Amino acid sequence: MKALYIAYYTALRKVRNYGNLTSMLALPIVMILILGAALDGSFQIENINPVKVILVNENEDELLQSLNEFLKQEDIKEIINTETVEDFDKGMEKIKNGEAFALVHVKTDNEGRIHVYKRSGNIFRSSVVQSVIDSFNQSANAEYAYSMLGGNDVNTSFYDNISEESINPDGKRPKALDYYAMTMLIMTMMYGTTYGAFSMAEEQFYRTEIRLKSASLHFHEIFIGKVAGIILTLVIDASVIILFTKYVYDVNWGDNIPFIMFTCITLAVLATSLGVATSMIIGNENKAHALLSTMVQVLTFLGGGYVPYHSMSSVMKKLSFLSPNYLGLRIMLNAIYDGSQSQIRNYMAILWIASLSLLVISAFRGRRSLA
Amino acid sequence: MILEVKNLIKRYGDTLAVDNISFSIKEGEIFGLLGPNGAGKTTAIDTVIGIRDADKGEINIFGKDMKKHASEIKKYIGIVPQDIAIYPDLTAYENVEFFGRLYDLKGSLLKARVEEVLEFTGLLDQKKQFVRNFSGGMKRRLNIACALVHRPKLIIMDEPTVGIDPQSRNHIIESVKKMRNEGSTIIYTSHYMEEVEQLCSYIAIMDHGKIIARGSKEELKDFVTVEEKTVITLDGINYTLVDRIKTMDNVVDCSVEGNVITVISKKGTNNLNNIIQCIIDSGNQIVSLISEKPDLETVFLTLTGRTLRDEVTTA
Ligand SMILES: Nc1ncnc2c1ncn2[C@@H]1O[C@H](COP(=O)(O)OP(=O)(O)O)[C@@H](O)[C@H]1O
Ligand SMILES: [Mg+2]
Repeated sequence: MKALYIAYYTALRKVRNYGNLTSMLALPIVMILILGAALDGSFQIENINPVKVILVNENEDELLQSLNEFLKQEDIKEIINTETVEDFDKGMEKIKNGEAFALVHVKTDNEGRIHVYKRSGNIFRSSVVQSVIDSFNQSANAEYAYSMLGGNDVNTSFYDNISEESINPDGKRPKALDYYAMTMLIMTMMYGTTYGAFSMAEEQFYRTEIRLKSASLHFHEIFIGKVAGIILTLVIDASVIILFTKYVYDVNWGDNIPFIMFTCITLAVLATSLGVATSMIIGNENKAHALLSTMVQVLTFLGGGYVPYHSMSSVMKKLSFLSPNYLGLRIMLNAIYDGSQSQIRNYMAILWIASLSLLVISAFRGRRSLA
Repeated sequence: MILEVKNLIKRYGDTLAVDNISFSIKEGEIFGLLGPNGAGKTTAIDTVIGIRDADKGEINIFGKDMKKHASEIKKYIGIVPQDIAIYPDLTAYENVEFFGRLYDLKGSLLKARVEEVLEFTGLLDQKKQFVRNFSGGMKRRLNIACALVHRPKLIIMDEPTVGIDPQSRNHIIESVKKMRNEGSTIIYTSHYMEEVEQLCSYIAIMDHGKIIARGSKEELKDFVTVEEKTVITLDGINYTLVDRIKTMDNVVDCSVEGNVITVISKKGTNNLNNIIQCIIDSGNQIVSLISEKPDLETVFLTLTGRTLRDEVTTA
């Protein structure tokens, strides 16, 4: 019973956290739009006035120039209207005068290189700008991962059309937007690994661990409560993404939405247990978090998150089977487009067996280290 | 006895954080644990209530062995941790409500208790606000509220006033006084001797993991003082008055310098009233009066050769 309360209040806190809201809801929703729209000329975005953004184009820096190109794509232009200026001060002047909403500055000297300065006040515009920049970062990371894994022509495959992807003999197939709605939803579920990594650590961070320990709770009540809370949070995120994309973007989620939700639950359980287990095995949640966020990108990539599976090299196709994202995507594709029932069953079973084994391992390890 | 600890030892690797301490607490007592940072107060408390495992020692709470009945005993203890332990993404109300639920409170009783402790800590008007927007003092008060929601029989407050504004501090001190008057049993740790002196009926002074002195405030002070000194400035000097004071009971010495009389009395005699009466009878006016009673700071200084504060700033 107390585990249920721990779960409920954990989810309540996560759902309200502003940082989580942008990374787990706004980001995937905008990414679906960008990736989907980039690949499908027929898709139109209405009722959104582009946000005015200034890019400081001060040198020939490679990252700056590729960002410049990225922002000038037709589809991005529909949500962001970029003006370039030669220097930072000139740009800031325009922001102050209200001529633009945000200024993007690529610094050459330090680590977190892309800096975004936003006028305060408008959360919607602010998250559009942030999400576009984040998605640029992510696709840059993904391209990097792809080239590391031996992918050849990044550009063509990246913006390639996916209409060849055909699932069943009737030739029913997903539009680009439908496809990326699935992969981004799955990616969001997999980002649950980072929630999982911090699940126990956040109680240490907020110092509330001492209250949990001083109440007469058993370790398993805390453990189950935390894990369930994170799964619940992810399921809420999934519902919002599915409903939003269904009604606003008109994404095809098939006739059996409860089954799509069940697939999300399955992936959420897997991600949470993978996160908890990684953090316990590594013994340091920050290292685990860094590892997992990179891993999610690689897994998303391998799972056809950015480049459709069929346009991958044959080595990559084999590697795809290691990605839970790929299994999740296959399950959804098969379910929505009336594909193979046996593939659905087998992949589901693999995901559940993996999750439960990870959970058992972490429960035992956790009991030892927290006792 | 509500709590009895015998020969408690706790090590962190090579650090002997708690070095064989024993103490006991009676019902209705405010037990002060005074000592500089790093003395071992927090470790002692965490080990006593089962948040950390002791290396050695016997702990009995409410007459039961902590080793065997931990989960039963824990239900009746409320801890105010030294580090603020609340969730920023919940409101004040939700924080208290959540911790109340961990102690099996529900329904209208839970609601009443949450309101009660928020009222008690002066946060009822802010109950719907997110804690992330709270000031340091408000967080400290909420930290206390969360510990009281289940009406514990034993309340433990570990440095409840560290790092806050004077107003919030006063509010907290007043709340502890109220609890004392209602008969609560409290363990209060602090490195502020003024607080311990004001609040606690029994005090143990801790340093380097050991209890180096214990007793009531008066007992501890008697321990170090030999004499009490009173320095009185008068509007004019009157030698008959000086002679009268010299011959009073319990006065050891009386000296004069200009308009200033210095009287030394035997320790613990509370001679102040008599001295003042004597001056009034003589028709003189008192311009100022300083009575130097030793404080716990002096006690600590005498015992260790260091001051509490020095230790605090260097720790
Ligand atoms: N988790 C820990 N690991 C190692 N040493 C610790 C830990 N917590 C406290 N200590 C050490 O134990 C001693 C007592 O600390 P503590 O109980 O926090 O004292 P106090 O509460 O009186 O300030 C100090 O020397 C401190 O450095
Ligand atoms: Mg302490």
